[in-house]
Amino acid sequence: MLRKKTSGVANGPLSSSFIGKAAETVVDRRAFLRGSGLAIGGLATAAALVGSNVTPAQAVGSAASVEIRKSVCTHCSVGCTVVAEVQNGVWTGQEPGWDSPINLGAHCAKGASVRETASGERRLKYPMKLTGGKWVRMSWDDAINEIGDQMLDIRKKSGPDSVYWLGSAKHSNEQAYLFRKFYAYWGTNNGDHQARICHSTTVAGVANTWGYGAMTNSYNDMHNSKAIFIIGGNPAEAHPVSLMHVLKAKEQNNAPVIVCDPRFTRTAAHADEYVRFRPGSDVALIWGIMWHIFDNKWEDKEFIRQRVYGMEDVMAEVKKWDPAETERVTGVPGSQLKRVAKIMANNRPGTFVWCMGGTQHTNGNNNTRAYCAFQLALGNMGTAGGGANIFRGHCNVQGATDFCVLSHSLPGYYGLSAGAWKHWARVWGEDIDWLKGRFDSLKGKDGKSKSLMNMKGIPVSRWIDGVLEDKDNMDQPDNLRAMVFWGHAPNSQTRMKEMKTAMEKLDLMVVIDPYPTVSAVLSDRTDGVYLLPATTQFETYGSVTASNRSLQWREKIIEPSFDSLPDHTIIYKFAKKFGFADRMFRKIKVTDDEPYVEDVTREFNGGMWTIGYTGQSPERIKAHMANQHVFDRTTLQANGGELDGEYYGLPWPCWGTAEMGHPGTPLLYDTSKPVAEGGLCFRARFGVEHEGNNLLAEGSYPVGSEIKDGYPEFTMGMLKKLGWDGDLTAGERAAIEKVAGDKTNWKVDLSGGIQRVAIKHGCAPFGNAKARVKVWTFPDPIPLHREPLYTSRRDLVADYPT
Amino acid sequence: MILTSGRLVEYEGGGDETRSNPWLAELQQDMFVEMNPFDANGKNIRNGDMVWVKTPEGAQIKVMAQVTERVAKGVAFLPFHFGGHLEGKDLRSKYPEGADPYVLGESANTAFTYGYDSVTLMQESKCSLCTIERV
Ligand code: SF4
Repeated sequence: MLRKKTSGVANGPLSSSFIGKAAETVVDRRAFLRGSGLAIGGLATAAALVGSNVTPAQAVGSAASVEIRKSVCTHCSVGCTVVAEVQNGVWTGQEPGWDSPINLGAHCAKGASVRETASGERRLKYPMKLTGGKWVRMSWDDAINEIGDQMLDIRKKSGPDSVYWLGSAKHSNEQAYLFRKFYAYWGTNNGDHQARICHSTTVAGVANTWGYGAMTNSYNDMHNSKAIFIIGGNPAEAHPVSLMHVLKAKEQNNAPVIVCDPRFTRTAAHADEYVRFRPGSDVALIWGIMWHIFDNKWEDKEFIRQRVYGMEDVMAEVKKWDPAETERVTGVPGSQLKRVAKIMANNRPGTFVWCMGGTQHTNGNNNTRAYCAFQLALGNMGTAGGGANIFRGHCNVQGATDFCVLSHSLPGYYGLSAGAWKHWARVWGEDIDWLKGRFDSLKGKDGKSKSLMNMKGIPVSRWIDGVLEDKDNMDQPDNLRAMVFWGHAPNSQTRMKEMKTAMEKLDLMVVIDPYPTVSAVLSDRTDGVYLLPATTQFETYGSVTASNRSLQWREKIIEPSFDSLPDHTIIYKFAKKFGFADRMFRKIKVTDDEPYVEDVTREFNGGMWTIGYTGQSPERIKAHMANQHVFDRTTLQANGGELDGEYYGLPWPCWGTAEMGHPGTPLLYDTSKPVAEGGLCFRARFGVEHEGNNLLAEGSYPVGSEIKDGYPEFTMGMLKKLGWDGDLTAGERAAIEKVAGDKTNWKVDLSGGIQRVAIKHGCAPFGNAKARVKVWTFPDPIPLHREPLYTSRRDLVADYPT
Repeated sequence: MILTSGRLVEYEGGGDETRSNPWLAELQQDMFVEMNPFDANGKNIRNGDMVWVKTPEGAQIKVMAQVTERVAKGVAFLPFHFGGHLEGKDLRSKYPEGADPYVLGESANTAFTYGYDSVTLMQESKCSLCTIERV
C-alpha cells in the first residue's frame, strides 16, 4: 500500500514555504518517517539504554534567538514531550523530549511531524458559513452573533436540549472542564465526546470492578512485568512509543509477550505467542484460558480471599469453557490456551493490556470485566509489573473523561444527582436554583414533573437517533435541531449513511476545529453550516492527562495561526452571547475574551475530590515539566532535589490540597506503600455488604494503615467515631459543618480536611474494599459470551444469545 | 465474511489533522481492505484491485484490496482514519478552498452497522459482516 505520491491530488499546490522547510531539513523526511512505528520505537529503545549520553543533533540555523518551549504531542495518550524551537515567533525546529521519562527522546511518525499540524497550510483559516452551497468567509463577531441568535431561538421554541454540544478528547483539561460547565449553564446534559465510542465500556466495567475506570499502572511500569498480555490492542501502531517500554521488559526480564488479536498486527509480530481468535469472542477466549488456570489451581487464593468478591461465580461460569467448547466458539485450540495460561501463571506479575479491540463491541462491558477477573484471579492487581494497563487513545481522552464531557455526569464522576449538582454549585459559587431554572422538565409516568437536570442526556453514539427518532419516543421535549461538533470527527462513528440523513435534517450545524473535518462535506446541505477555526494545542497552553493519569503542562509554542482561537476563548464568547459569562467565569480572570488558564486549573482543583485532581496546582505541574530529568524512568519517582519522592505528573489521585503535597499515585491499589506515599487499596464503592457477604477487604490494607482491615468510605461521622476529628483544623471543621455536618463525606468536603486526616492515619479516603467480579447492577452480573449482533456463526446464537 | 477494523501508525482518529499533514499523508495514500489470499483468489481479486465492500444495512464502500495473510480466511479488516469519499463518490470539491486534506478515502464507518453495548451504548465497530466484490 505504501506507494510514492506521484502527482498532487489535492486542491492547489504545496506552498513554497513548505518546500523551503523541507529543503532545510537535514534528514530526508521520507527516509526518516517511513516504517516509523517500529523503526523509531526501536531507535528510541537504544537511546534509552545508553542513557542521556546520546545527545540530540544540533538544530539547523542560527542559534542566536532560539527559544525553547515544551509541549506534549497531541496524537495519542502516551504523552510524549515535544521540544519546540521558536525563532521570532515561528516554530522552526523540533526535538522529541529527551528528558521526559515517558518518551526518553522517542517519537513516532505522528509526533515527529506535529509542527506541520500546527503550522499546516490545510488548516481551516477563517470562520466560514455555507450559503447557497458556497463557503463564505466571515468575522468571529458575526459568526458568534448569527449562531447564537439561532440557538437562542431554538432554545425558546424547543428547549435547551435541542442543541447538542459534542466536545472533544483534544481539549486540554481546563478546556474540557469549562466545556462541561458551559453546557451545564446552557441547561442540558446533551453533551458528550469520543470517550463514549472508545473506552466507555472500560470505564464502566473497570470502575464497577475496583473503583476507578482508568489505567492502573503506567507505560513505564511495564519494565517490571514478567509477562505481557495484549488483547485487542495494536500499540506498535496506535501507541508506538509505548512499545519501547514493552520491549524493554521483553529484553530485560525475558518477559514473554502474548498477543491475542484476530489480525496479525505489527504488535503481534513481536509476540512470543500469537493467538488468533474470532472477532467478538473475547469473553469465551478469556474464560477458556482461565479454565486452565482454575483446573490447575494456579489462581492466587490468598489474594482472592482478601481482596475479591464473587470469584466463585466466575469459576462456575468458567467451568463451562472447557477446551472443546472454547475452540468451538473462538477457533483457538485448547493446547495453545493451556500454554498461555501456564505462561501467565509462571511469570507473575504479568500485565494485561487492552484497547479498542476489546471495548468497541455490543458485549464490551462484559469483555472488560472478564479481563479484570483474569488479573484478579492471578493476583496481578495492585502491584508493580501487573495491573490493567488500558491504553487510552486521544492525547487527552483520559482528562476529558475525568472532567466528564459526557452525557451522564458532572466533572469527577459525581453523576447527575441533586447532591452532585449541589457540590458543583458550591464550587462554582452558583445559585443552585438559578441552575435549575436553566433546565427543562418533563412529566414522568407518575404525573410528577422531573427536571432533565438529573436525567442522562443523549450519548454521542445515538445523536443521530436524537434527530431522526419520533419526538414522542424521546425523553426530552423536542428533537435535536442544532449540532455542535467541537473537535469531533464524524467518521469515527458507525452508521454514516444515517448520519448524513440526520445532518441534512438539522436546522443548524456548527463545526469548531482546526481542520474542516468530514462534517463539512458529508451532507448535501447547502446552507446552515458554520465552520469556526479552533487552535491546535500548540497555539495555547494548559494541562493534559496521559493514559497513566500523569498531568503534563503544555506551553504555548506559537501564537494562534490565521483567525483561529483557543477553545476556552470560544467558550467564553458563546457564554457572553448567551448572557451567563459573568456567572460562569466569576472566579476566573478574563482578558480580551480569553480566560486565564491557571485560574481554571485552580477552580477544578477545588472540586475534583473524587479522583484526586485536587493536589495538582498549575505551579506543581509546571515544576514537574521543567524538571523532567529528575524522575526515575521506571518508577517515575523523583530522586533527590526539590521534588524528591513525587511521581512524575502527580498521577491522580493526588489527594488533598496542593499544600498537603501528596506525591500522586503511580500504581492504583498498591498496598505495599502508605497512602501518603502513593499507596492505595480497592475502593469501597458498592456498599459494605451484598446478600449477607462482606464486601470490605479482609486483612489487607495499605502499609501503615491504623485500621488493619477493610473499612467503608470516610465521612465526618466516621472521623468522630474513630476519634480522629480532633486532627481537623478549625477552618476545615467549619467548612465540613457547612456542607452537611456529620454526613459530609470525603468527596464533598471542600476543605480536603477529611482526606488529610484519613491519610494521616494511613487510610484511603475512599475506603478499603474488595474488588467485585460480579456486578449485580449490570445486565450480566458475571460476564457472559454473547454472539455479535451481526454474527457469522448463527449456529451459536441459540446457546449464546446476542 | 467477518468485518473488523483498526488503526494505522501514520494517522489518528478520524484523520482530518493527520491526513492534512503532508509528511504523514505521503505514507498512506489509499484507503484499503485487508483480505486473505484464499478469499481474494476465490473472488478473482488481486492485490491493488479496487473492490466494493458491502454491509448488511445497505452501505457500500469502494476501496483498494490488500491481499495479505495478516487476516484469517473469512475475515476482512478496514483501517479507520479515512474520510472524504462516500460510497464511491469523491467529496473533495465540497471542502473550503485550500482546506481539503491531502488524502481522502472511504470511511470504514460508512460500512459499519447498528449495535450498542447494553450498559454504555458503546458502538460496535469491531465485528460486523460484509461481502467483497471486484469493482
Ligand atoms: S507515541 Fe503517541 S504521543 Fe508519542 S509521538 Fe507517537 S502519537 Fe505522539
